[in-house]
Amino acid sequence: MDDVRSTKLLVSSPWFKLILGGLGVGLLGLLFYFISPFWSSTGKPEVISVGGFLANTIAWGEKVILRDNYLLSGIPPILRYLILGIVLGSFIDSVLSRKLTWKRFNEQKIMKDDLPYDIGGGILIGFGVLLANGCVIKHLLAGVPGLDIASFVVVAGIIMGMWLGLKIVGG
Amino acid sequence: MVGNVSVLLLGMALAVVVRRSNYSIPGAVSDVFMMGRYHQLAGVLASICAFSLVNIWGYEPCPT
Repeated sequence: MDDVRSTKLLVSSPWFKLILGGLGVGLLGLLFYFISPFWSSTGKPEVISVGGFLANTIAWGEKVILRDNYLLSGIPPILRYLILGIVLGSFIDSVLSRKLTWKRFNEQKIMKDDLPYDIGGGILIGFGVLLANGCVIKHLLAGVPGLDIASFVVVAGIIMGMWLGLKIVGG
Repeated sequence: MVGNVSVLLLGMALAVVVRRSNYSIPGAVSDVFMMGRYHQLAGVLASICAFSLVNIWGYEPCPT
């Protein structure tokens, strides 16, 4: 009886859910790494990266306008399918769990208070992704466990940036 | 084609895992600085441990 109660306590704890989520994301990242040689043009494994999609879009624009990739090259186009899958998966899951609703946002608050931060933060993220060759997901999920020194530097920079951001805008 | 579909399915699985567990890697990093919100950090450590299995087979640094 005590065993059942302690199991229920464990399952309902926020730690348990997050550890399971963390393990799931890590293992899916690992799966991405192992299936990537099948579609990679170089035949080498790629690591999961969400920011790479944005960089890929910029690379595409660069090729259309400038006829070549001067800044970016070698970013796998398949990442766009990953983003599409994330959007589609979220939609299907919210429909299945009956949580899909239209939400009205506070327009005045968004336009007056949030918009400058949204635009400023978005520009900084885009700049950071290009500068660091990847987003927090790529560096924290793949770079750090792979003992990539550059990723340790990037993660340290991200932590410092977040600390600085919280000091400036408050948290 | 097979590659595209497999990555699409992987993205869908990723969305379901993140939605059901409320886990977010970027969110966890910012939560470090917010009092009493260290739960997410456990998820990040679990992710890092799971992905570090790659070292068993040999990890190649990020191609970009």
